[in-house]
Amino acid sequence: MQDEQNHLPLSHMSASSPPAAGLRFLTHPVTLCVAVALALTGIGDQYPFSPFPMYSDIGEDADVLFLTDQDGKLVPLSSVFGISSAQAKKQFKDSLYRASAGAGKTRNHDQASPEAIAAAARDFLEGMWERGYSKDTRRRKIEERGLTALTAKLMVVKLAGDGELDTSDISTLGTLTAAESGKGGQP
Amino acid sequence: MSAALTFLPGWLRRWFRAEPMHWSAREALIMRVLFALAVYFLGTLWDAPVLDELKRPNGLARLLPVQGVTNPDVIPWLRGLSAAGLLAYAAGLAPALTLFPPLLILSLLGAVRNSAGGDITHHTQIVGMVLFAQWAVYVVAAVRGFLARPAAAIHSRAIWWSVLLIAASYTASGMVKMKRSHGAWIARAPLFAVQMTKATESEYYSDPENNVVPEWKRIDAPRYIAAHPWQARLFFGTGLVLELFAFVMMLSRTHARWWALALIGMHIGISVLMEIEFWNHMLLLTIFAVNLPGLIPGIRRSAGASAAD
Repeated sequence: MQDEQNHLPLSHMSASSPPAAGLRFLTHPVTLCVAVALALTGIGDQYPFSPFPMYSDIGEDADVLFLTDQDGKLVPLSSVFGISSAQAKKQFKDSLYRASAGAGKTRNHDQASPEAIAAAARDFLEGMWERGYSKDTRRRKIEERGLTALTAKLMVVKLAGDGELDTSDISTLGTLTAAESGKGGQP
Repeated sequence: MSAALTFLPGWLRRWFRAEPMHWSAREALIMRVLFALAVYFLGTLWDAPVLDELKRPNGLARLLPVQGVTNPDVIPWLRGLSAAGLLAYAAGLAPALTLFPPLLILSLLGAVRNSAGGDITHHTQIVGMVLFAQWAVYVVAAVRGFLARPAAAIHSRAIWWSVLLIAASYTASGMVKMKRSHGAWIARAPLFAVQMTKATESEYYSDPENNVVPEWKRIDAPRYIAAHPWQARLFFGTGLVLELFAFVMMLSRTHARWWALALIGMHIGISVLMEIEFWNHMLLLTIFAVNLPGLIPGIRRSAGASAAD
């Protein structure tokens, strides 16, 4: 019986009345699998469901966020703030989306106004300081490094005309000191 | 389905013919034990952050006040509850009841993790979806009064739906790629050179004092892809075809095994080139589709018996 063979809920059918061709098609494992796939794309990213949209839209350029300290030295995001560069960038983009006004809402810094970028950078860096001081281990690392200011920078990766990869486009998003964030000098 | 493919030569039609897929009680037991371990140790986001505000509520966070579940004082209790449920499930004890706590806990923690705003992780949903599918099978079986049926048939059904959810998730991923790129995903594959550079630079800037990205990965491989667009299209296009046609896994256990091995190969390739690991995907493909214990005749022996139940 079809339901016994394919684990489908067709227990109302008897062995003497095989399912019609249309029903056989609808309950075929491949049809069901495609139907579930379509359902997943419809539901979207609602945990624990997901259509796994990673790299579905491959852009012509991509950006990488990093932080420097008051001396211009790179700050190791993962060991000091417990966050990767990719995660930090997503947080900045989220701040940018909130900071950019009305119909001009965007996650792309090259489409946002300078005011929106400045506001987003401040919001993002306040979040980083908050994150840094939220755990004793992170706070110790901040103090050990003598970290007093953070500057967020964004590097744009793109294909140059000659097929080479260009990583020279680096812009400064904003700077925020620990004191400005209200975190400086805390015990 | 195979009847609709009469235009194909016989040998190809046979390849597309769906065979009944069943798993023996021993295979099902091994799968439950391995899956329970995967849910507890890899699939549940025990380190989900404590959030004051859910900036972009996701999943159950849209329906329930979920923030409290990530409280460090609550996590040990949740761990205990999940472990107890998974132990009972692995032993085959009332899975309709015992799978619910691990499913709810996984879903709540994942919802908090993905509600922080901006950053959505995609590493553990596959575990949650398979868990949901299995729980649904056991609930439906219990509601329909099939408790009297041999447990092996119900466990086998749960595995079948697990394989289906895994396959469907890959097909869905392929569909999204086609939709968002307006069908031009393969044509744009050479742009992966940019994405690879982004991935390796992101890895470097995450910890510039300790992360040393090999030169070939940071410079040579992206440059090669940019300079050889058709080879890039062939390489990445193969991955898209594997995803889009993952429903082939539902044709038989053999189809599932070989397709799963190909998908694992794809994940390994992505991991090597782009530093993105999908351990849960590879693990679940290995447990439910590759099913190495099922290659041992003594373990697979009772598969036919459970089909006839």
